[in-house]
Amino acid sequence: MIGIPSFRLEPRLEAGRPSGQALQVLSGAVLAFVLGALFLIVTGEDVLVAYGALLRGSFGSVNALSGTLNKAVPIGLCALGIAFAYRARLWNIGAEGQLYMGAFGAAGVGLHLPADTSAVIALPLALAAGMLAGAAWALVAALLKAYRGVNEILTTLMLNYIAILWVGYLVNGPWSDPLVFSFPYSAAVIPGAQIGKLFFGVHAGLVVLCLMAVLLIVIDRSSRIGYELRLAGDAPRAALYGGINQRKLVLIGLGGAGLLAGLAGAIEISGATLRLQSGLSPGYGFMAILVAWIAQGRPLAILLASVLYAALLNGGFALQVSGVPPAIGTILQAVLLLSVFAATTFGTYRLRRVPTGSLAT
Amino acid sequence: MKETKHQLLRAVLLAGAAVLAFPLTAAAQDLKAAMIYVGPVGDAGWTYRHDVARQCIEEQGVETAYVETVPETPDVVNVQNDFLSQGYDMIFATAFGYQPFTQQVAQANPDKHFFGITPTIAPADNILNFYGKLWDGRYLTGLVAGAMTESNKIGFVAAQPIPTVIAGLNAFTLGARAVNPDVTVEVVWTLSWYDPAAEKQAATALVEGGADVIAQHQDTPSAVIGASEKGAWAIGSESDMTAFAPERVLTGTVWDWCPFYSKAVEMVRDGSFAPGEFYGGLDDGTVSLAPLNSAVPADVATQVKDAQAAIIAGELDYWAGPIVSNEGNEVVAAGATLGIADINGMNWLVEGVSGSLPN
Repeated sequence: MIGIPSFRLEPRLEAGRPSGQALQVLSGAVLAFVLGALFLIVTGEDVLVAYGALLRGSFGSVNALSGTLNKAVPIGLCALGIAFAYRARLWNIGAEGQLYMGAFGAAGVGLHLPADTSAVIALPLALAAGMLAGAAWALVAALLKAYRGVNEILTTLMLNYIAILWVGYLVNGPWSDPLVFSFPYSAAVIPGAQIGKLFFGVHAGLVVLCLMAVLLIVIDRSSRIGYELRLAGDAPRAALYGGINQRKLVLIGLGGAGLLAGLAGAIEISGATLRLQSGLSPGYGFMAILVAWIAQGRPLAILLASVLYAALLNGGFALQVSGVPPAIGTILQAVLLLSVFAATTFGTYRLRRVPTGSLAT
Repeated sequence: MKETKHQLLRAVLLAGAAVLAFPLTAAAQDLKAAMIYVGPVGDAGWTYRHDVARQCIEEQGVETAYVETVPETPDVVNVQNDFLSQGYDMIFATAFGYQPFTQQVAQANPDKHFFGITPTIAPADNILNFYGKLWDGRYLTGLVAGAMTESNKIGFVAAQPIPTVIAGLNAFTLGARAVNPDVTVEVVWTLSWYDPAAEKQAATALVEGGADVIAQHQDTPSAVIGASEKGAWAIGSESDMTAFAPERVLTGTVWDWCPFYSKAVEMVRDGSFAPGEFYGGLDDGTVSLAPLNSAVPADVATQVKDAQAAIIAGELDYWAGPIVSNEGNEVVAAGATLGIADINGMNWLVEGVSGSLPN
């Protein structure tokens, strides 16, 4: 073999300082928009029109901003949960299904309480039911992992489909609203179970998201379980020798992730759709995996990344409104996302040139 | 040199006059209409038919734009608000599930006009919901199927057990039995709007069970293809499906939203807009039949033509009682008939249908 230079990704040994990392994300964003502009020019679209629409649809007006912040709530909550489980290197691919189960729990309360139940009782009950249902769904995978060693990536992934079909069954059958003529929707939840608006069109789910981010920071910094999760993740052998109960960590890690995703589903019911329906989530639970990864699991970065991701989604619709073909819009979104993703990856890894032949692993 | 200057001046003056005159000729073009689709325009079915109608009103001088694959969630609010911010006057929100979100935006923008899909669950003073009396077209295709079957067994591949599908199936059966009382219509529910494999399999199984005509209420031509491959007759739905099996397709129902879209534009232009519900039908071309196969005898063709004229004229009402369900209950009493509201709540299958509603 002739010596073709080879490269290898290897983890950076020194942890980057926050300012350095911010710089990387920023350079990633700049790269993203330059590449996106090149793509638009190649496809014959007007760059200014496209970027103008992206901005208008995401932050350009009170309505757009409200839509973006509301959409960031389910993505952010699911991402916080995924990051929480990943502290112990547990992969939760099941946030989507847990979100649906959370929606099921919240709708169950919101549909069956007496119609005049006060919000003081109904709203906490609905949110709690959503969290419990989401956590219970995640615990199915957690128990299989803890006691039978079943890979949680596969179980959480597969449980998604069951949850989505379960909700589909409910809205087509027992919970179908007779007033919607057999279309797959439940009736609206009682007013008491609806989360109020904060300002303009923004609902109070945003406050919940921020509170949960702060809670995760507190758990990280000053709780025993936060320490144990990270120890089990970063140094599993040390955790083992230290006598940390691995099973408990699996249950808490995945259970907590399910709880947050369930909360996301409950808030969608009580703040966004107000009724259980098929097609409740356009894949928030999967988007959240990406958001958690880009933010490298940091709670505040997750807040920011989920808002930006939501902005990208809403801006995508505005692209179409301004006449950019749907396919071009989708590819542009992907280009932007991949560029940021690549930039953050190079924040944690670096390319090293290795002599040919030494690649054998 | 001077000559050229003159020519230049003249050209400039002419151009100026043209620019001044333009707003006058363009006065009819100032309306902007936006469409929101639940699927991609390439689905060859529901969304595609709406996009054809969009192009139809664009030809009439309306500026249009669309956003496709919008889920039935608060995204609808974002998209509509963005359209309004870009100066759109009319919004066609072409999925039933958009209604609650359209209502929010409509109430906040009382000077704009919104069009959704019936039946109405979220009304507002500036919302007109629309749909078509598809069942009238189904009745006519039933006449053809009833005349063409030799085994007296007809298959029907149905998507979801929602009222519009049920009403279509019942009307089809009433039509078939009007010309051939011995006919039974066997129904298979795929429980999906888009599952080409299941649709085709359902058609094949029905033919193997003895059916020699296969009708359908599905978005794709898969059942038509399955029936024709087995040598049975086929009846299409949604759009003209003749091209998929030219020898075997007898006819089919075809949606055309252009009449309603044009009417909506006209209503907004001349100020005659009124909220509520609008049902197009055979009369305005919203529902029509695909061309009849040349194998259909002339007397059957005449009968279909006459029935169509009679339905349009209000002389033929096939929903008139007595009608008995396939469970033996009298669902329409003698002397009574069904209105749109009854049809929108239909939850029974007419006598002659072999099969039941899935739970």
